[in-house]
Amino acid sequence: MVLETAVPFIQSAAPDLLGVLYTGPTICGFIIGFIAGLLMHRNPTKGITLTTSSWIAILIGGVIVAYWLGTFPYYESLPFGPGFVMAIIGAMISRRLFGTKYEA
Amino acid sequence: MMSDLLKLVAYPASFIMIGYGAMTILGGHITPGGGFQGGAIMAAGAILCILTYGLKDNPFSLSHERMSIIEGLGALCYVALGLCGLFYSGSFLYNLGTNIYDLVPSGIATIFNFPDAVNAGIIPYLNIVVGLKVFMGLTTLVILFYGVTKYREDYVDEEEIE
Repeated sequence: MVLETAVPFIQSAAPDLLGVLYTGPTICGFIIGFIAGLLMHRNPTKGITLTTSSWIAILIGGVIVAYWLGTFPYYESLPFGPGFVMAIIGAMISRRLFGTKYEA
Repeated sequence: MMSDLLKLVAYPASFIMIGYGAMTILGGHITPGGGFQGGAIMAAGAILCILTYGLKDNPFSLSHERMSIIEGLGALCYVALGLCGLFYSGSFLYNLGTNIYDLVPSGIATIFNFPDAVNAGIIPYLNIVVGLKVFMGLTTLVILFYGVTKYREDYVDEEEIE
């Protein structure tokens, strides 16, 4: 019963979201970045302090690098790899939400 | 002591390395890459921060508890995927997504198939869990090597070297 309702839903979502992004690399890239972000401090440390504009610059830099890296074979809907950008976004989000607190 | 310029650039560069490592992991079934290679690239980002900031003022928290949980999760998921293949088809690590021998129902094959442009099955999932394990393992290794240098004066005699 569960499979009969779940499988058509999964088939409708895969392999692409909105006709542009592929589900697998997008979601799994976000998950990988999310897990990497769990290992970071959520508040500034003595080593480095980044402002909001710095984070936006990192994201823009990531998009530029993703564009120049290009996409995988057969994934030709977007000019850049979505997994790259989603990993960076996932790391930033999980760092902010679930990162550990730095105590000097 | 590392320069201020290096300290300014290393942490943002580590995010780019993490993204590139994730992209390498995710393209392992169609490009030269995969779990180990991508995990090593991600670890390079963390290792860059370890070398630049040290262990104490590092923007990476490098908590032993979190790292061991993630590493264990990677290994467990790998075994779990193998056991799913064993349970549904009788073969350990059978690729349930591609189902080339038609041993499992199509619903099971759809659930385990990696949703992308090519029919890769569980291979990308295996790459992801291996990548996480390698990321944690290599980072732990460098932490151990870096931490032991503070005891250098106990086992290296500088007068003998000179």
